[in-house]
Amino acid sequence: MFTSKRFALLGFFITFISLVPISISPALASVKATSVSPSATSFQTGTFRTFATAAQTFTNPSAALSLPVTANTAKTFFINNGGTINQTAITMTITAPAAGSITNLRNCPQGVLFATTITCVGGVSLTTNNPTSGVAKVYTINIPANTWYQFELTESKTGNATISVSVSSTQIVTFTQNS
Amino acid sequence: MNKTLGISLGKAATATLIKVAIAGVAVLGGTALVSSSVFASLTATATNTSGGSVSTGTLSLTQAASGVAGITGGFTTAITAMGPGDTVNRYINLTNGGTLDAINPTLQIAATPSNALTTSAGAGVQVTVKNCTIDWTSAGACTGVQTTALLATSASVLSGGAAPLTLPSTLAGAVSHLQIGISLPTGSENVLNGVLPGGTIQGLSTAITWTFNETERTGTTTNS
Repeated sequence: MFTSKRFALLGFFITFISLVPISISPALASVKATSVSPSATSFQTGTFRTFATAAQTFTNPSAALSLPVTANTAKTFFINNGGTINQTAITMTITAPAAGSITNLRNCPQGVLFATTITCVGGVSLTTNNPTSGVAKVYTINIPANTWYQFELTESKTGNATISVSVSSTQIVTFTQNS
Repeated sequence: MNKTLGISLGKAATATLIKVAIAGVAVLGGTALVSSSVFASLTATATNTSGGSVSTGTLSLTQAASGVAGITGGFTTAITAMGPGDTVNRYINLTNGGTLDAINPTLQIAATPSNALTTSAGAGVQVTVKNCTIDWTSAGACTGVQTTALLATSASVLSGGAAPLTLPSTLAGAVSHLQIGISLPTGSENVLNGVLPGGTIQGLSTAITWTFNETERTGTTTNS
């Protein structure tokens, strides 16, 4: 039940809000400036893909090389950099046929073939290595992208040698470019 | 009984309601009389004799590749065949060309497509920003005063939100000579017999858009 006091109070309230000014502050807006690069920077990463093959190629076999060898007869193979990044070293594991051992492993310089079993074309000096069958060994050789090395393997037993090559991100050529 | 409002009121209440309405109208009317009639007769006007000019400032931020021969690649020249451990430095002049000072400069990137280069905090792209008080040399040296505007920050962070830049000055007219270092961490990827490992950052590509922002300096109140 509305009483006269309540109506009086309501009337006072209506009168009050009619007369008292209400101030609404404008929202505080901050001005921003933006600068967007005129075009996007195209960014691509390269690859370091090195692999062993019986004949020189940059087509990636995506598998270890199984190389038929005859006991005490030198057999050549290639290490190829089929990627786009230059390398400073590779890690190679050569596993001789059962009960066999590696008696000799030589290589000529980058891009140079063997002339004979003990000489490189042009008479350039070759490198002799002494790996142990089945044990990974690091070979410090510079292999730019799309280049190759020829190796020559001699083993004590006839059979298939397995040649596996790996490259880690610490075995590649890095650069700092200002451009 | 008055039932006009759907409320049952007694005669006394009805009378009170009428009184309240009359009182309200009287107050409003009185106020109107006071505000219009009384003050109107006392109003005087003073006008300034010369025009009071009011103008607003501008906030403008622009970027341009360095003009130093040999390092003009800016953000528009492609970066190719990057590998773990590589760094490419690009040189940008960021100018507050407006008339207002600015604060809170930031950098944000957007990459398309999104891949490990911009989503991997550990193996993906890292960005470092350095400032030189004068142009960088073509060899990437600062012969003025060099400061770091942004420590190495992953692209995954920069694409997720704007990162603050610490610049010596963002005053109106200030030019920041920035070296944007774009690098890949050395990482620990191992490629066996030419087969790339899962989740590799090798052989990927993306396009990065760079956005700088700044905000108008805090508003001022001048008594003059």
